[in-house]
Amino acid sequence: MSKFVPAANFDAVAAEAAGPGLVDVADGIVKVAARTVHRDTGGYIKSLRSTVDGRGVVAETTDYAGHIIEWGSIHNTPQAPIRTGASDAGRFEPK
Amino acid sequence: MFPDWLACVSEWLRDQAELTALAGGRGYTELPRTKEFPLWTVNQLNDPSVTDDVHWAVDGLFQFDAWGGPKAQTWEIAETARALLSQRFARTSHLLDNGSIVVASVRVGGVRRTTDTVVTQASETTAEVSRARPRASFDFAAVMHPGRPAGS
Repeated sequence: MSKFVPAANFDAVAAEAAGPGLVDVADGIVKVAARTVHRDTGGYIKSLRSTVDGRGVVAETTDYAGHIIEWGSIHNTPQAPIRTGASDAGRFEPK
Repeated sequence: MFPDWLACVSEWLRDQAELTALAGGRGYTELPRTKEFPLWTVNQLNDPSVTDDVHWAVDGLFQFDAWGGPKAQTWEIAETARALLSQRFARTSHLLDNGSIVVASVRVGGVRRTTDTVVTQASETTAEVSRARPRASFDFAAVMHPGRPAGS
């Protein structure tokens, strides 16, 4: 009878192995976000990016009004481009 | 064909006495031009299918916002809606004016308590923003399918 014993650094190895796939997912989220958002949002589309840094694999906007475009305000219905992209990529879990 | 999920969800929320007690009938899918606070809005963000080949069930993603204030009131409205969606909307069927739906499960996110930023305030009247700034929001996802055969 054999027994599988994960390596001590299994989590790190698995995370590294998943990296390229996650980058593809993040790229997909950004593409859907760009397709979803209204055209009258200034430089929002250009601000969308996927990146890998200390936070992990990230899909984000650096637009100064990005939070209003994503979440809405008292005069703006939320457009939710990034959440739409994330939802499109698979089962989105509200946090 | 699927029913209009957003119309169904908003109708169901408006029917809940606990929310009516807190915000009157002021529940919307678009913020009205003339606003009386507190109020709440619900928006549908997406409704991806949960099945590959059969047009039968979706995993709808929604955003709920409570606008007020005071802050405590916005939280109470959001938390009441969150509890209702988790405990009363989920795992049952609903016969509504906008359609018959079966809700398999509901997953809710945390309540975000925010204020509008100076960017927003710059484009809105001071009086309105100062009344509307407190806000409590959360996302929720619901796996739903039509409650009746959609026909063929």
